[in-house]
Amino acid sequence: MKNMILILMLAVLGACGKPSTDSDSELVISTASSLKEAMLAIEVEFGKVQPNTKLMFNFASSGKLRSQIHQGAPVDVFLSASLKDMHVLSDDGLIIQETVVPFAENRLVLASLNHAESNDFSQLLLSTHETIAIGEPESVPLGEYTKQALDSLALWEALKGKMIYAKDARQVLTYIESGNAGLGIIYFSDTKVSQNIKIISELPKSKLPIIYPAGIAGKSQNREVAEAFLTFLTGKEGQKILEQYGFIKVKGG
Amino acid sequence: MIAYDLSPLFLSLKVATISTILVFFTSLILARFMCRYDFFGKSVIDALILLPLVLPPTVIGFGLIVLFGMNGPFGKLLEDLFGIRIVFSWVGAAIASFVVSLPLMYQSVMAAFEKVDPRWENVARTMGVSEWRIFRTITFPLAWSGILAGLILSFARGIGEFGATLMIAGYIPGVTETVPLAIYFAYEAGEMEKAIFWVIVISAVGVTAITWVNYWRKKNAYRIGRE
Repeated sequence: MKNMILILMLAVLGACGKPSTDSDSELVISTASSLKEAMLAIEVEFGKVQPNTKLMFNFASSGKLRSQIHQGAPVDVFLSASLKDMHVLSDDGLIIQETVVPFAENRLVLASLNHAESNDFSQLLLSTHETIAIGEPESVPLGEYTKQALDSLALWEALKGKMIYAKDARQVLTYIESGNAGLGIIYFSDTKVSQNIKIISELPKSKLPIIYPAGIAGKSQNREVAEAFLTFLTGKEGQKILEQYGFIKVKGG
Repeated sequence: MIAYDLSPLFLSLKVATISTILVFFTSLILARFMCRYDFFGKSVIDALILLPLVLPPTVIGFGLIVLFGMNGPFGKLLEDLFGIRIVFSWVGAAIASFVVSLPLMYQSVMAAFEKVDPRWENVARTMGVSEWRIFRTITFPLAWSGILAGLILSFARGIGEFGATLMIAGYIPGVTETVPLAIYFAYEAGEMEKAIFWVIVISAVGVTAITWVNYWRKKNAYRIGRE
């Protein structure tokens, strides 16, 4: 028995250290959580074009991904939900400035499981006794956009205490889907990945456009493959998939 | 030094105090019962009480969400009957603290009760003293120093509870933002100074609690030794 366990452990260890052949390459892509389903679809299509490249996604809020890269995470590509997080990194030289390219745009909606469509969403938010799920405004771009939109409508201060902060965009969706938060402000694209969620109303466009930029890390050992991936993402096929998942094409992008 | 909103500290103290009071009575009853009676399935119940000690906080949080969520059996019941919402409220945080600190308190109380020499209780019994009075005047005072240690441990565990709390109570600044949550989100947002501030505060609370219990125990041991 003891021997068997030892053999098993050695086998596991052996599998860990399996050297990759020269033609194979791995691309570590730190990805904003709101892009999850779209990126998994893109992974399949990209695999058909570049079968030797393995995409490894790391999903979290863009703020968290930014601090991970700051702390030296071995990342090849950063797909951010906010220009701000990308600019902080490119200013510090951790993302190569020239590679930064916007690839998608999004918009905000108020959504829930069971509310009917409504135009007067300010009134709805102010009068509701339900919890409103939003992204954490400091580290989650969705939260930052939400705060700006609510601020411009003079709703932010009034809704404090009613709003539950989520650690990334995808958690906001989970809060609404589970019924634990009656209402929530999410991206339009999030409504495409959930069948149960209903859009109550779209939020007025805020000053800050919701643009997703992509960039290649300065430390990346796979610059060529990373560039191929970005070309695919901004190309016809990548854009088509993003559109299917509710993202908007960036003008001039 | 920038002035921070101190509400996380007060909330943490409130949550930990309430959960410790509940844990105190629950574990006294449980331990008394488990100490004195033997029955079928006792070890299973014992294991169930101690389980949160070894489970990851996410499992506890998940369990609480499933039970007390808006669509969970207890969550629905409490909302319909009393209008109490557990999920995303400080009550949820108190429940999470209760579940994780109960095993600590239960273990301390069990050990304390087992240490009490049964001869003292038996002497009282021969004098026809009621069981309740025996517990009040003999067992409890003799077990007190062990119980106190358990109380402090439970309080410290309750004030430090993070994982399950984040899942059931969520993060609503000023409403469910306990000190551990404040630290986590300050770090996430890159507000290192704020995070350090709360780390120092929570460490100070912990050191004070431990120092106080050590002091109290020494004093107590001296008094008991003298009598």
